[in-house]
Amino acid sequence: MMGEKKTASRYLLIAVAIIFLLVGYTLALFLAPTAPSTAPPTTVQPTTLPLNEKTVYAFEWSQIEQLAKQEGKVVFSIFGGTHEQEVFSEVCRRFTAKYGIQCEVILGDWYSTVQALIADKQAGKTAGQYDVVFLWSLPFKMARENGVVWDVNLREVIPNAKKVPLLAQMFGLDMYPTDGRYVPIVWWQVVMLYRRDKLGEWPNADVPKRLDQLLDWVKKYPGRFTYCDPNKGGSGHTFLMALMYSEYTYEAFSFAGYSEERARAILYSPGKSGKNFWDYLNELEKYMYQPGNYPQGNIAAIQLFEAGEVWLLPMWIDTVLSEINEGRLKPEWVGMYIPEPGMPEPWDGVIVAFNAPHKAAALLFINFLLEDDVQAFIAAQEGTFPVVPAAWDLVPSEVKKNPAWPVNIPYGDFKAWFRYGPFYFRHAEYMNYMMQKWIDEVAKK
Amino acid sequence: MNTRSSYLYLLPIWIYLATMVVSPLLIVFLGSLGLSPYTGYKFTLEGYAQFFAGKYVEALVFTFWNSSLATIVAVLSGYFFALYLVINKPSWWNKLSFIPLIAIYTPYLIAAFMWWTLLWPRGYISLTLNSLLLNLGLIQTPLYLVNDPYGIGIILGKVWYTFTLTFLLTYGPLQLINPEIIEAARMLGANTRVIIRRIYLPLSRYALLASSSLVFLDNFTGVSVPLVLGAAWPQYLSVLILNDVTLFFNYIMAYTSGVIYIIIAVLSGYMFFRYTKKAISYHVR
Repeated sequence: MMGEKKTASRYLLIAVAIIFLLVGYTLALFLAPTAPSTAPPTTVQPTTLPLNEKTVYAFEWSQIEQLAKQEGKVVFSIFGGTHEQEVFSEVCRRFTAKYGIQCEVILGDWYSTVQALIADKQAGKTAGQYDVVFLWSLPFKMARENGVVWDVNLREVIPNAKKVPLLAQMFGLDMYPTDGRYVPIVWWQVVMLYRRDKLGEWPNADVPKRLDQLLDWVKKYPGRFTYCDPNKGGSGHTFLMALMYSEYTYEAFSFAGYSEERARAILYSPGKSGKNFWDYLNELEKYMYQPGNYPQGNIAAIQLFEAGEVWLLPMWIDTVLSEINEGRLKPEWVGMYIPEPGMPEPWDGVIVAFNAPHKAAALLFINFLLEDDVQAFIAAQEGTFPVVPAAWDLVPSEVKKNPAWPVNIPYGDFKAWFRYGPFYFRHAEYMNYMMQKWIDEVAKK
Repeated sequence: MNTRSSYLYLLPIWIYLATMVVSPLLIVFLGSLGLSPYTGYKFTLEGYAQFFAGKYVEALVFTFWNSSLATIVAVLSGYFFALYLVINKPSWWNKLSFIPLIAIYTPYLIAAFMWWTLLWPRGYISLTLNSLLLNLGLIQTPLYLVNDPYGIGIILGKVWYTFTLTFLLTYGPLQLINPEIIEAARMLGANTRVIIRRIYLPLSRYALLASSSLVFLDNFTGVSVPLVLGAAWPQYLSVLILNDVTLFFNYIMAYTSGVIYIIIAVLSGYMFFRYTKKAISYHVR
């Protein structure tokens, strides 16, 4: 009797549970939200929020794109020469063709551009003349310290910025921390340029494959090596940074804090060669081309190579490419390689001005600058490495065949180099110290 | 009324002078004492101490002697060329008088690069001169004619355009000298050398001094030519200022060097106006 009751109440319990489950599922079926459509929305929800450094993170990219089209214009300030003006004007034309947004390139010098922004800031001018500004480390530092950089982490906002290596975006400006307020668009590279017809084909070329072999090489070939005055040309001070890293290790400088005492302590102590940095450079100078007479700039240095006076010198890839293309440098003379342990590379790029009148268009334009095909175009025209990996495959093969590109990039593959490194950055403050001391310790002696 | 209205008429020029001349000078001077936004508004004489302690004085000395030498060469050659034209009145001059003007219509920077291409180790002038001197046995190794520690390239680059400046500034006053005086001297038996020494030189000395001051000022303060044709060291003070501002952000040294520059430039300018005034007085009389 008791057993039957127990069985009946168990069935009742099961029946109630089934009823509750059925009611629950039915309710869920009716109340649950419908699955999102995979088709893209045909219209973008407009936002009433103003675009500023606080609200920008809340914007959808499509909303920024729509806002950029409403702004209708972007002004891009660049530095360099007429060649850079032509290249970026073409980029601008492509941007206009794609988005229908007017794009203007202004060629100026970085110093006056940053000074103009600082003057705007001091005058309280909230709508300036530049949207996107192309800079390198010193002007970025100057701009940041004076509060004229739009205080937005561009990596968070711009989709294509995530394709740039994080390390390069944060520290590629000569290790000056950018906090993402800047996005690299070009990867300049200094390598060693040597006379291929005289010194042989790589890998059997008679060149110093490691920087610590350079002194022996210049003794073997006196008068055949030079580097440009580090205060007049980037190839000069970039090369000297490479020598510093070779003598004292990269770790001694990389991302390290700076003080004049520390800089002095390092550079006046014996390096790998057993000499302090200045004694090493003065020893090197004895065997250089016209000892004590340094070419006053990158062009002055490469002209000595073109004239057959020197056989080895550090030089920018873009300068060599341009000289070959202009017919001033015989391609059969050109051999390019990266000596061990490496040559530092500056990743110059762009900021958005604090008072940019077209901020959404500025963001869209920076995103466009980082498109694979645009990066490939810039790399091919400028002689730089692209800052996004897939772009290298799009660089035309006839450009890659030019001897201006180094023959021994790490892993023998750009994408692998891009993925695994090493990235070698210059340390702006130690570089600054070295450049000033070079006058006292080398040029004046 | 007259005084008040004259002040009113002069107001625009006073405003101009105050904003465009006095205030920049004041900013530079205060900056050299650390009183500027770039130096943190902290009074210091560190700039002057550093200036007179090391490389800045060396740069100033180099700038001074190099521009002085360039001035002497330019003034002598320009003046004697003007004398030659005044005395000999060559017939070809009317057709070729535009040639020296090319130099003053050429931007300094372009002129500097032009000279660089001529003077660098594979430049025509360098190759010709060095092969000549080597063949004559006067030198054992080729001379550096550009980016050299003696500033030879700078002198040549500067003389190229200041020659024309001197020539133009002295040619006019020389032409104004009464030819009857020269004729009288010749009739009394004076030869050309005596005429130059006793007539032309005394009567054009103020123009000569004024042009020397102006040319010196131009040579002393210029930056393009020493930047392109100068060596890594010694450098012109103007190049150091440029580097201090654009490379090293060392504003206090840039301001201090600027003050020294201004003092010397003002002295030279004073000489120019003083002698120009005398020259004008003489000619008016």
